[in-house]
Amino acid sequence: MSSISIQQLTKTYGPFAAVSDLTLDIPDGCVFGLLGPNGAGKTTTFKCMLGMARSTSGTTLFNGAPLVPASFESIAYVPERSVLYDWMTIAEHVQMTRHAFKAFDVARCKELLALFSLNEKQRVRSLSKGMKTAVAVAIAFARRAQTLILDEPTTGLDPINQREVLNLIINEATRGTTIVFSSHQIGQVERAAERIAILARGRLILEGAVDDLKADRKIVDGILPADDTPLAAFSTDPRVARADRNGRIVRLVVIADADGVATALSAAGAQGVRILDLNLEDIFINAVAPASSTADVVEV
Amino acid sequence: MPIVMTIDPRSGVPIYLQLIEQIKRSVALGVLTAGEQLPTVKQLAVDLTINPNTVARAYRDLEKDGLIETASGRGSFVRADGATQNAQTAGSDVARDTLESAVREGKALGLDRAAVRKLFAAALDRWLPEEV
Amino acid sequence: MAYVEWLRVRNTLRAYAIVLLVLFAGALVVRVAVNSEMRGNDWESQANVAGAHIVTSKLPDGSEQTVIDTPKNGGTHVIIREDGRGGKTVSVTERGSARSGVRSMHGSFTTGNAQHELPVDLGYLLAFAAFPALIFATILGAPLSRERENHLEVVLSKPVSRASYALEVVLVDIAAIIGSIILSTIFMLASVVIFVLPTFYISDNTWWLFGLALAAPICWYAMYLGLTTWMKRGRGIVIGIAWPVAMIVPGLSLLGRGSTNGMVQVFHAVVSGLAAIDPLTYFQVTGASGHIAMQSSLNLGGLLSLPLPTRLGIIVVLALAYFAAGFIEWQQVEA
Repeated sequence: MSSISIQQLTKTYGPFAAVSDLTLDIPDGCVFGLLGPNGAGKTTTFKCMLGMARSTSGTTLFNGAPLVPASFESIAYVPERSVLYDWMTIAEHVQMTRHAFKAFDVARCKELLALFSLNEKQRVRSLSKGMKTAVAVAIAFARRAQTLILDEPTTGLDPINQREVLNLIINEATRGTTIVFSSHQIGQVERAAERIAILARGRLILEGAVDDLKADRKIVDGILPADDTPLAAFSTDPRVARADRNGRIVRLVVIADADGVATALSAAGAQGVRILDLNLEDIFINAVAPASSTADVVEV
Repeated sequence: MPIVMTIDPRSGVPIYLQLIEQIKRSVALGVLTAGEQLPTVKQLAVDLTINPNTVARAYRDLEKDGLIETASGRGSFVRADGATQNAQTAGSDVARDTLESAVREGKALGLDRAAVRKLFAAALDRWLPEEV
Repeated sequence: MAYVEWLRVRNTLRAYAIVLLVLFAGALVVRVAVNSEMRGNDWESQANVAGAHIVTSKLPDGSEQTVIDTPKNGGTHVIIREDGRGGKTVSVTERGSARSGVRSMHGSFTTGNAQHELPVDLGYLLAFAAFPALIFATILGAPLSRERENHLEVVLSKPVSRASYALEVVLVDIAAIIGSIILSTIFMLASVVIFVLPTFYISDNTWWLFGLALAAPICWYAMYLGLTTWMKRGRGIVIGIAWPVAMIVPGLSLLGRGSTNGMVQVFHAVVSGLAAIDPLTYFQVTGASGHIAMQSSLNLGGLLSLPLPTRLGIIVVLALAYFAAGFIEWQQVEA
């Protein structure tokens, strides 16, 4: 069992709130994607979860219990920036991990290092950014941990290696490992994650299963008969998250019952009413960006 | 057993729905025959590089629809009994979705019922002519 | 858990050993170069030169004196004095040839048995060895602050408590410091032996000196730990500045004692405070009447005149206090 429960996590640095009142539940065996613009508080969330930064308030429970040092036997963490020792070789890092953790599969580690075309004898200072990420990933996945926390695990990697990391994540998922990862590669999150949460400016904006979000969230657009046809009803409709209007063209971001909203829009006199699917990137941008995406609306 | 499936994760259509449609197509076309074993959840997840729970959800829905059956420990299989019936139903399901989309699009473009029917008839004549 | 620290100290010890080896090689070179000058016994063989005039006498203090005069080099006058306890003095005067006027060369040479040779307290050997160990401790210095630069996520995700980890690191470093003291003791012995065979004795002071020799570098290391663990950057400045400050402060604390001037009193208080927590204050070595003494025989008063046992006690307490400070800071660090 390796579920994670984050309860009302808040972390402030002086007057600045990096994370505010965050509550997330990550079930056992789930692959959970954490999305958000830069500075949204994703890295801070990871650090507070793992006790590396002291949360101002709130708790994180692993399998219903607070984190203790021994918990780290079954938690592997890939931080956002490289924390390797420049003056040591890759092989020495492997040895360091072997000495620190009981369940470390050295053979698997060598396999993974070879997968990323890394030479064990190289000193870390001579590695590129992507190679350093690859080392951290290889070591983390060789840990055979029950929980994997990955902060941007594809930084600096070329597309082939990015796909390798994705394959590793999926493989671990088939073994029932709980994985929480943050990434700017929305395509990766779309494939691997079962559930996601979107953070912005330290707050939780959106959370849910990827499939459900895609099924529920749609764009309903149409062309109104005149510039001044009233649309007041939609701004208070709970099914509509946002309504953008550019002259006669109206675009509604719908979070539920797209069919119903489309019918209502037709009833309001709109022509050419369409329901458009949203992929995760669209959902993300619509959730995070301020309401100024009239650029998306084409001037007729 | 090898079936070729393509899913588009960047599409707005949930992946599990895409999987369901692809499997239904395969059954309808006879690529997946009655009693044939489907890839395991793990195998399909790894092959398509998607989350295994997504595959599991698709298999669960297909089982609810009566198209496949899962024997724990042995895997998932296309239902043998009523196979022809299943194949037809599967085909109808997929076709229905597409046809409905076409009708809605026509309506959205301002066509009336008669106009849409005319287009439909023309398409039928072209692609599915009456056999003499 | 302290695998990384093992690697670090292994590399540092290896470099240290190489430096000592190079220095020893240098000492060997010097030894060979002065070889001819050191054959004090040769002067005794002057007695066999034709025309040599030898006078032997016993001096009032019990030492035996031999005077040899030979016509060599326009006249050579050799005085050999042996004190019966193994100490020997040779004094040589050569008058130059008549052609270039009188050229005289005075000199005193140490012989195989050293001049002014008195047996040395064994404790001083280790005490001297402790000085380079201070430098070694400086190089190792501040491992926890080092981790803060870039590696906290690795360190804090190990399956041991923070205190446990810090303790392991510190123990590894202490072991290495002791190793460096052993290495430099060997180096010193070897460097001396090739010139002169020393004789050692053991006194009441010896064991206190041993203690101080071990404790002082460890206390120095602890000081760095206590002062810098809370720092993310700037550790290097502290490590660098500590040396000149720590060396000046003990002497400075002697100034302005008993002054009635307010500013001077403040100055004295501040400097005395610093001196009190400065490990080097208690590790003073002063020379007086040709003896190297850990105890100041110059009666400087205050902190600088404490007896050896007290010094050792203070250094141990200081070290523990600095370690405690370092550990407390370590508990608070955030990645």
